[in-house]
Amino acid sequence: MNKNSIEKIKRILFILIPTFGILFIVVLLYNRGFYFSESRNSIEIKITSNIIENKKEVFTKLFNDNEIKIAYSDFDKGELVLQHTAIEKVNELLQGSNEETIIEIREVILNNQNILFSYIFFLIIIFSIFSGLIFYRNIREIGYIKLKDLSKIYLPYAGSIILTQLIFLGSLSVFSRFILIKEISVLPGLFMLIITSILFFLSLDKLEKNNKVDYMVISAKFINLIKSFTIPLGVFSILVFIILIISFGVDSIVLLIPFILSILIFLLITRWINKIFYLNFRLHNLKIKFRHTKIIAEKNSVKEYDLVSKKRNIKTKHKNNKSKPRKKR
Amino acid sequence: MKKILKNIVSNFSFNRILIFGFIFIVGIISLPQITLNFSGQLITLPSLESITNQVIPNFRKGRDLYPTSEIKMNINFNEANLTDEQKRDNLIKSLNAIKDRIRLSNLNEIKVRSEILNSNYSIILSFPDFYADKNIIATFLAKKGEIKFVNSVDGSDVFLYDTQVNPNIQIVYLPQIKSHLRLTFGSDRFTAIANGLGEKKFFFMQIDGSYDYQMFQYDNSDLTSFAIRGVPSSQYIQNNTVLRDQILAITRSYFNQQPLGYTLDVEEEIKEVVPLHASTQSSAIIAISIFIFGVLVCIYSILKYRLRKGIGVVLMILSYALLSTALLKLTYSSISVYFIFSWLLLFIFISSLVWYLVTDLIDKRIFNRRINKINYVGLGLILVSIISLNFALAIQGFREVIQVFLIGGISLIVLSLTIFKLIYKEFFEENE
Repeated sequence: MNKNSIEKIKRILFILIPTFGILFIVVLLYNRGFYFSESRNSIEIKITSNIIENKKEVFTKLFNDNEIKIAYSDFDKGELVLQHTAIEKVNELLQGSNEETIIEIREVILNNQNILFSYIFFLIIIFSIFSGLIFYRNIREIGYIKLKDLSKIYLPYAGSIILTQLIFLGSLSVFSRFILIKEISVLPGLFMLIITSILFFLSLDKLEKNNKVDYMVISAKFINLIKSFTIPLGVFSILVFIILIISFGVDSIVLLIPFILSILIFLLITRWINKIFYLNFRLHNLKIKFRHTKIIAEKNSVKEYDLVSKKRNIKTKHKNNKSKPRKKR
Repeated sequence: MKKILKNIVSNFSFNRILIFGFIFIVGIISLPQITLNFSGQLITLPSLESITNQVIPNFRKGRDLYPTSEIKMNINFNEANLTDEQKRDNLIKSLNAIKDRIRLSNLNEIKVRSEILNSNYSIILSFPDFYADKNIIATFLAKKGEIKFVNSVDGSDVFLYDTQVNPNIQIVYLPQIKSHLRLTFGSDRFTAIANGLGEKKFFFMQIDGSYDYQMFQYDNSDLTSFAIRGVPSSQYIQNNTVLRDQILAITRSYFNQQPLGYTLDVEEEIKEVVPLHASTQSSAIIAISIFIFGVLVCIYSILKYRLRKGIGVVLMILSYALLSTALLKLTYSSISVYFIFSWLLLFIFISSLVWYLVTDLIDKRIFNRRINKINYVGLGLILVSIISLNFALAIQGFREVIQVFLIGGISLIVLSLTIFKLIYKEFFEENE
């Protein structure tokens, strides 16, 4: 196998493994939604006893049983929230408890639609509308465009959206095995979806009639726009953190994880996908750099400039760039 | 001195008057009444309410940051011989029916859940703070929905049935009778309607045996279309516009469902649920944080683009912030964590868009091109919001997010077609 083929395989695996690995193993094998989620039916147990030993005894009984799925517990308050557990099992387990311990078992039935399905539905609406706008703008600006060229423009957008959302939802599903996912946890994914769509739309440029559309220029612009949005997103995260602490207290640390995760996924994956697939960057060039850089796509080559030191860091060549003929001596 | 004044006046063009006038007006609409304490002396800054002496639409207190109220409704199985499993199934059916009623009545801010505790099967409604008359709304939501039309003279059956009502039940407003229901029947019901109206020209619609509505015909169109109109019998509901509309909407939902299997007894006690962490100061602290951030954005813009252009950028960002806040205030948006996050994200994003608009701005052609793109962005946000609003989304907080995006999209388009162009002319266009 030559070097180029190995490089191609590496790229594909680099993207596919984390995406589908997380998605398939976690989401589809375990559950078709978030494992522990506040929108699911639950059993709330409240242990009212002044004697700590009695509380401990109940907690231990429940924690030790494999059929009991504990979504949330607070030992000090004597509160437990169970999901995917039959009420009969809970009653059976707590039957022989100490008489001084008053245990309140409340079955809460919400009968809500799965958050994940609602979110995916919403995702499809946004994706479809912005795709429609992209097509409309392309056709309006150029008048006529080949399907091949249109797909080359559209694929960075579609690829970015699908992969970032899959990784975000898959990762959230991993977390849902350990923490209770609230409705607000899916909100960052929605925000990133809308921002990605808008930024991609803004990068559609140089679409002039009778000119060949250069998707590398569009990809370069897209990446530059995402980079320019890094600092505002960072500031947004800080403000979100402040607001979450005020609204939800220390528990908000758990809610902050999806926010940070979605921002990281958006910033890194969108750029890496475009760099690998459309700008022919090598894997070793995909480092997380904290330098202020800009990508410029020119004719058949792509250059990344460090705007601080004004040096050119990377140069790639377009696949179809024919080598110059040798000079005859 | 005269020369300086003359310069200022001549420089203050009509465009600038428009720009600052616009910002002043939306600022007055959007800002709340602020009272400052200067060593014991209270100074109240003018707000629209104090200037016009009218009740102006305002933000409503949503969830997460403000207390909510809960009303419990217990299912009365009437000592029926049912197993626990059957009781549980009935509970779920009632829960789904009430959820449908809430959705059909557009009272989507009300959350519902059911509980089984110590063999008590109950449904709990959670109201945000801005709902008035929660008990009355809960009572109507809890009704079985058994509808009967009875004579106003002797209470005898009028021989009209809810299953005979045509599907398109309207809630209509007329100045003389205010908002009311309009039901239409088939032509074969003409005699029953005429007999029911009788000499008194009205009859009653009972819901679960209670004389809740007075039914009558108003004009000739009712005669020809076999329609009857209904107003609530209760004076209290009649006189309260908002409650009246809510009750009419709930009543209309009864016709889309089967009656509930068992009665729901509504408890009189309204339990207040205070958010665990948020305090009364929370919204003020959040507002101050956002304000400080806004000031930092303005300072950064002036430093980056220098004085003249920097002021132009600040005016663009400020006009968006104030216009979107004013529109959200006028549409009774409810303040919750979802609302704040969405508004904040859009604000940051629009600020970045403004920077994109003015960076490396060589000539008007590029400005127009970029403004055109921004219009598309606004259009995209509006389309997403309108289409999403039509679908009942299970994630409740998303409705507030959609509302913010819709207003954000509208603000963006309005500004990009008007104020942004004026600001460009005044602060960015090089005078030839």
